[in-house]
Amino acid sequence: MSAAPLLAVEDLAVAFKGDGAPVQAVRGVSFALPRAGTLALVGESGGGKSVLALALLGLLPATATVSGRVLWEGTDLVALPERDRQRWRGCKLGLVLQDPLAALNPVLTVGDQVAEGLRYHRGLGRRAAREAAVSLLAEVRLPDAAARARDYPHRLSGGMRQRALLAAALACGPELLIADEPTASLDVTVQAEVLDLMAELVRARGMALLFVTHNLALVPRVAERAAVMFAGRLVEMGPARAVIEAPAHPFTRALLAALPERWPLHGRLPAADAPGPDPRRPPPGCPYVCRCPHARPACADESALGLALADDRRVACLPEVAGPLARGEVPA
Amino acid sequence: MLLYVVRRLGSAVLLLLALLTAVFFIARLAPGDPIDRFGAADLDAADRAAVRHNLGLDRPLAAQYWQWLRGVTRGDFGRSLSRHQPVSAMLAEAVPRTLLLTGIAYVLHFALAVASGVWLARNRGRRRERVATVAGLVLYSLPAFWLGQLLVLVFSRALGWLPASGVAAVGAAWLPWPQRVLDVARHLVLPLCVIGVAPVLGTARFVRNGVLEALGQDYVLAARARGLPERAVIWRHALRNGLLPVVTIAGLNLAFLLNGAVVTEVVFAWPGLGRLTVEAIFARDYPVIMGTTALAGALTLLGNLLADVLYGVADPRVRLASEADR
Ligand SMILES: Nc1ncnc2c1ncn2[C@@H]1O[C@H](COP(=O)(O)OP(=O)(O)OP(=O)(O)O)[C@@H](O)[C@H]1O
Ligand code: SF4
Ligand SMILES: [Mg+2]
Repeated sequence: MSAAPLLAVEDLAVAFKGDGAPVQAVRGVSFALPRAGTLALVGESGGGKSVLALALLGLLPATATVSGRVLWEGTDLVALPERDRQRWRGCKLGLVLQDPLAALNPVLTVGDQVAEGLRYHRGLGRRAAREAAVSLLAEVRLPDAAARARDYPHRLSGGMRQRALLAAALACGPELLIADEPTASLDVTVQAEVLDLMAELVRARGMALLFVTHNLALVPRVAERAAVMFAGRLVEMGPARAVIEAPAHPFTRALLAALPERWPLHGRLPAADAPGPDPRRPPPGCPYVCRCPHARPACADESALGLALADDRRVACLPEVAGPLARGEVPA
Repeated sequence: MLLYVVRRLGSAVLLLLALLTAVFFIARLAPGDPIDRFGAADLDAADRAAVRHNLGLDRPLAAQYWQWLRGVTRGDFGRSLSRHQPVSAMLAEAVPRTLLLTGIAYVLHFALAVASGVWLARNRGRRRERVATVAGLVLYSLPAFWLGQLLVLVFSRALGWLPASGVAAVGAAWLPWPQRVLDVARHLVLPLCVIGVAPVLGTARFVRNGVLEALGQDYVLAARARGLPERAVIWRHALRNGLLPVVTIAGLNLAFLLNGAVVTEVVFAWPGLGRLTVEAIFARDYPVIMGTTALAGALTLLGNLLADVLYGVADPRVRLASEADR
């Protein structure tokens, strides 16, 4: 038996109950992440990236129904009772959120929040926790870490707050860091700094990384592999460079085309020029038909989709469309 | 912070002065004459005039007011017209009893409101939340005098468990102190139920909404992602933020509570400020009315001030702002 990967997601689906038909935010997602592997999850707004990330952590609201499996070294997290999942969070999985001001509690000091995972998971006392917080803040290169630990979040700048959140996520030494648009609210230079720091820490600590972003151009900076998500499904996955240099799925191409040419790091969300499919009644087969310039009747046939371009490169599209696109035989 | 407190204290004094002026003139303009209360019906007009003159009631209102104010600055609230006692002595007797009742009621009220507000938030949308809310609403809207009498009927008259009125049993002063405390505590139970417990839903709803709002914030998600147990997420992260709006109404609640104390003190014959005020109003005992108003007003304003300071302690962002204007 070959060693199980750190994380293997199998046929994961998330639906939200509400009035009317459930919203199918994530459908049939499968991917694996080896120990210390890095994967970027890319897609436009509303594509289900955050829902997927929260499903891994088991933090979706009670209205969500999760099906499929999230295997952590062979253990299915979806089937675990909440008590055990809670122990998983923080210890094995860390999360960094997009808006660092909103993600820090305004009435608790930065140090309190950075170290609280340690206090609950490791039973550290007040003093030990404070010392741990200071050294974590130093690890994320917060200048004057001891003083910052005593500060309240509103006294810190955006970049400093995001570093503090990163420190909090690292506190218990997780094996997988999930970063949901960790830099989208920062300005460009700070964004690059924080991203590089994160990538460096991930490498130094040997963590795996799931990096969620709108912006394809950021991907090679932090991740080896990229998975492109549209309307709750993974439409393309492969080595980050290959996906960017030779995108095979029409949606990936559209994402790339939407990047500003000269300053790709500035890219915010590619404005969806047309709405995606109705998440309550997704069309059969490919979800991208409503916007795809190559759409044809066969696209509605689920079994016709899918093409493996290489061992580690898959595209959920008709082979006769995706193949020529990947080989650059069709101009963008 | 200090400057802020001083500034607030200044405006509180001005407010108090305005309140006293209004009460002084309203009390005098209301029909009725204090002399009627001392069996003066058989006095003839000349004697009545003499009594009025002795009491200083025939002088111009403005002069009477001025004299009263000058006295107050020396701690002299005048003499009661009906009880021939200095008002300050009557106040000194009544205030501790009212403070005992409302102080405990206040603490009890907030402790219960926090506990039940958190409970309501955690059970949001469930049937038990709806049932509890309806029950709480009924309790909240029962008139205090009605609820008080109902409680007396059930727990004192029918069951005989608790005393119906007063602060202490007759002769309690000779008991050893632990029994004396117990005796006062037994007298406190029913009035506390009326002022502290019955209106708990009013504040609990604020706590519930505050906690629910906080639970939807990113910092709660982040705390959960750190693997904090649910109780820590609620008590450490959500409640602290959820309580901020509650602290702002804490001063308001004090006024509400003092208000409730008036009715409750009358129902339970609790000889505090409220009962003193009501008796004084019926007797047209102007100096006593003024004295109790001044004290109740001062207590309310002080409570408000305390609530503001508390808010600054609770919310570090406010603390920063007030440091900045120093
Ligand atoms: N609690 C919820 N209840 C109902 N629907 C939800 C809930 N959370 C998310 N959704 C729906 O799930 C879909 C995916 O949302 P998600 O937040 O995962 O998108 P995203 O890819 O992270 O977008 P963004 O880049 O804007 O963050 C959306 O259609 C959204 O409306
Ligand atoms: S499957 Fe069809 S609709 Fe979907 S992306 Fe490929 S060509 Fe376009
Ligand atoms: Mg998102």
